[in-house]
Amino acid sequence: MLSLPSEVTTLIDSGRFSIRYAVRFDLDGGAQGVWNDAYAITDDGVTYAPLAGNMSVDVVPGSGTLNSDKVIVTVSGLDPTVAGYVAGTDWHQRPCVLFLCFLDTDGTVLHMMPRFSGFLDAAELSDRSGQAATLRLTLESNNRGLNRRQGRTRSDADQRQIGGSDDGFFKNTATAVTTSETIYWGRKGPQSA
Amino acid sequence: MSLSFPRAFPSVSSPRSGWFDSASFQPVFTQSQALTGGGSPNAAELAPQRWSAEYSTTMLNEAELETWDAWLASLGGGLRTFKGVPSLRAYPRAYPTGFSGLTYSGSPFSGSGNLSAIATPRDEVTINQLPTGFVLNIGDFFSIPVGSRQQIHKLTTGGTASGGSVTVGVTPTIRPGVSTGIAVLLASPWCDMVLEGTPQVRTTNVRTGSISFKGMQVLV
Repeated sequence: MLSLPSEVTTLIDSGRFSIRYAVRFDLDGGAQGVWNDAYAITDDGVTYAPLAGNMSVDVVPGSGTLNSDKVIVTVSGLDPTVAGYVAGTDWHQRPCVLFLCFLDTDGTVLHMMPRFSGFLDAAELSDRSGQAATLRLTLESNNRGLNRRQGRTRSDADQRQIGGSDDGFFKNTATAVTTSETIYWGRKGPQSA
Repeated sequence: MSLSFPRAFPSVSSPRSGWFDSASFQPVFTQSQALTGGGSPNAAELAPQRWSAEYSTTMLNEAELETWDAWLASLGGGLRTFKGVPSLRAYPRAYPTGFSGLTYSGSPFSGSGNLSAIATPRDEVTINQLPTGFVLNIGDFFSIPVGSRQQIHKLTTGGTASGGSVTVGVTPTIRPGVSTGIAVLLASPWCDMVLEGTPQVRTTNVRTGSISFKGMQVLV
């Protein structure tokens, strides 16, 4: 369940409020951030540079499966020299967090709510000579490691290898998978005379 | 001579009173709106408000047409900025021809005051260093420097200066981080803008013509 400060819930209940997206990148040289308003803010020691409405965020997925969710963040209207900055920075697979910022009517940031976290997977730069550039960032969720095949299996041997020789949690898996048999849990089954 | 940006509009030569037949200066909001089940409209602002302008010149002679054409070309499409002025309201409504005859501290009034106070909601400001009895009306504009940009604001409430000071309502709200003690430009207030779309140049067969173009505010 979301836990929001009371002033934020009051703002949302009013039905008229301001929100902005912010993205924090944990790069090798330190954390840096950008957000979608026209002035810089600092939160938790990280300065978020203004993008003034030039940043758009695709629908943030909220799946319940183990699929690798992705969020696309598009930044447009960039100076063409941004290409050199992107190329000269180690950004691939760096942790990043997408925040949803709630602002009051004064423009003060009341709360920054983490909305999505993951790793910077792709940065596609579209630029043309004499025109502003567009940067399309793909943030991939932490779930990506959960559906990759490794050497582990759900088997008795694998469980005893990891949990110790006495760990018989999966001792009946082979029987259950290969045969149709009723396993009586916690008691003996029917006994023959 | 190298050009500097943001570029001001080309100078107007007398006896012309202004370049534009029509000029609109309107706010653009980036919002998402939805109607709740109870019928109450909800709105969420997703990005800061910015100003959008449309300009359409009068019929220009050949030299003027070439001047404007070259001015537009120098902006490089949307790459370089120009000074977007609400041209039909370049001066406060009470002083349509300028501030001739007004004085402050014994000197002719330059058209620039001082931002002396900002109310807590940041939608109301006090401007001082104005001539006594200076009138600001609803709908007047002023601009202030914010960082490396000039931000323009429209008055939502007016007032008459008393003791050189007047308190007025503004929109959009003064951005967080802006402090008092900065200059308030009342004569030809402007904001940084870039061209939006392709300018329309309409020429006649006697080497005259008119130009229309749009601009969008640059916030950072």
